[in-house]
Amino acid sequence: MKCFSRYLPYLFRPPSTILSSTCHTEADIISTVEFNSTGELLATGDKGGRVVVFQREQESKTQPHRRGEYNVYSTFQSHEPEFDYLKSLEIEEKINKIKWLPQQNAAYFLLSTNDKTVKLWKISERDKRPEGYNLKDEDGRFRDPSTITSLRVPVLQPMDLMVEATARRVFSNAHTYHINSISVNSDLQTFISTDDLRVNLWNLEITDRSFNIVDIKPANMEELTEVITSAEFHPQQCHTFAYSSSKGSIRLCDMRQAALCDKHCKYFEEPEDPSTRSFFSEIISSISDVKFSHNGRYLMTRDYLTVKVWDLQMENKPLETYQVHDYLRGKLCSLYENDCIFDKFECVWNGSDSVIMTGSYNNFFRMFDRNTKRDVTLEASRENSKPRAILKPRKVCVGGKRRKDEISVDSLDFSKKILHTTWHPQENIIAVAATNNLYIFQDKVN
Amino acid sequence: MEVNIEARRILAVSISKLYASRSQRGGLRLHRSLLLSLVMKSARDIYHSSRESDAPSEAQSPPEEPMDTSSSPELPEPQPEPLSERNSSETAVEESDSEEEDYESDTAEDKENLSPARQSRKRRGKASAAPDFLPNKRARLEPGEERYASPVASCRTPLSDLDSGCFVVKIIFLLLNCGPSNVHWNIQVIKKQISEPATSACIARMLRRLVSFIHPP
Repeated sequence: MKCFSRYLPYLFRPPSTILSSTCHTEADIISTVEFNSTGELLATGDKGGRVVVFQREQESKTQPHRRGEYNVYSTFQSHEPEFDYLKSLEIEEKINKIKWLPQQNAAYFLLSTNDKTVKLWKISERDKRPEGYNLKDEDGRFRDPSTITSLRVPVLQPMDLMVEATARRVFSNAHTYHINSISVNSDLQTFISTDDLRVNLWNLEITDRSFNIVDIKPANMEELTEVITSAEFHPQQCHTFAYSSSKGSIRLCDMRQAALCDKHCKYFEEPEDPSTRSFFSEIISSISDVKFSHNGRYLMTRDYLTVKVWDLQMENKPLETYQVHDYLRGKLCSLYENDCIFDKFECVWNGSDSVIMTGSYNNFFRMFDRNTKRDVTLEASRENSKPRAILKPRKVCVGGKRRKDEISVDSLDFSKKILHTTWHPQENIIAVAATNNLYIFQDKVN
Repeated sequence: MEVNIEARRILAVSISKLYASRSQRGGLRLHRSLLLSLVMKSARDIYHSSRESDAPSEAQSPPEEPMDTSSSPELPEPQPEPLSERNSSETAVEESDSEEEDYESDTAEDKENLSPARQSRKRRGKASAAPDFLPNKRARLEPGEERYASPVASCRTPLSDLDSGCFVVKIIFLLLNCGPSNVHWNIQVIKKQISEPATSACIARMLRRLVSFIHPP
């Protein structure tokens, strides 16, 4: 059972209730969070292959303080563990990414993916059921024909609301390597799925065929020097997409140029600073997430220590660089030994592209205001937050005298990491996944 | 010297991570394996450059040399000799990559290139992945022998790095396309070698092979 608690940080204020549970297994670890395009729904995927969808409550005049709380709407098992007999490999059921399709009718659609297979799920409500069948009784068993003496037509009767999820499409067998991202095109007809070496383009209606549009696999695998870490479609231009690499570069591709987009039309890379070179320079420059801004003019990338905002018109260096947790630069060796250096943090824009957010360790997450250049560190934890309280900004002491509320670098808990966050497309509501807990923060302006 | 020690330590940590990732659920992760190999390469480069600056007068030794019981023990240094050129510029990660490629069905473009490790399964050439003192045929597991027995007890040369050297060599054997059934006899041979008097030279030779798999600059 997952738990989610809702608080307000210093910008935000909490609603009332907190649900909690004490059980925590590996399968409960949240592996992805995503708001839909209106922010009404919030989907989470976990390591056990389950998807839990939350829905925002409608505004109520009788209970104004409960405006906009998120409650569980639907839970379903999206992916199951599989076994590839040919390669003797187990395929994990962990949900790597969820992407919503914009709503076009009463039902909701989302794409969810594990390492190998993408699935399209339809989530629909049922609040009526047909009753009064002619040939079947209420249990569904067929009636004895000799007892049927009259003709009647079933009528729809109201019933308790039931939300059901059905798998409408399964897109499989197109990836040799592990899928790291999916992205829906603005044309709402196609999407891309990306693994370490290839990007495939799919039509949402066609499951038995996909087009390979990027292939960086070298002729000789011994010459492999970089892999693709993430890819995303441009939010408005249906022919443009970007993909990031483990070498710290981003390539923008135009699908109109050629069928195979191996040749990029823009290449974004910042030259490495030789003074910071270390054993681990390649690892920390590997990009873990790439996101277009909502207005389509900027790109944001996250590597291990920084978040960078790039202007699509300027390829040689980023527009802005924000240090997320630079105090870890001196600890890279221990972070390598405990595997934390391989953690893949995500980053997210707010609706107006003025604030960016990303996670860190010790259940900290950071927000950077691009206009005022102010930043804040907040903590997602039950101990430090109470309902209706204002979240206190946190500070990490990097050396010298530690102040009262500060926490020293050595006291940070590296097992508590916030890798996945999402921001409501219009309002100041954020969802932050801390291991198996989901925290939703809302801004209530009085 | 400190850089030297640090580089060796990072190399050992990287190798153990690569080894551990083979048993990870979901199979080998290409990205992670690539990053590990890059770290190993950096560590190796730094180690060798610091050694070259320390001891520029060391002579090159031929890659294949008979077991020499009279050679002085060069342990605990795990890489006592400069590297020798090898035909196959294999790294452990590319071994694991090529394993992933073994069953790939991508035949539309013939981008598949048989790596030397794969070729070595079919014919033993200079690019053979297995060291040449191991038997050609697969030996069966001797009854009573443990599957992954560590060779500590039978060691006659009580050098502190001996165990770690064997452990590291064991890992490299495991990484080099040795399927589960090959592992037993590889380790048995190591055990047998160690119990012989010419232990240290033999181990030194094995460790030189270890070094040469992480291909020289």
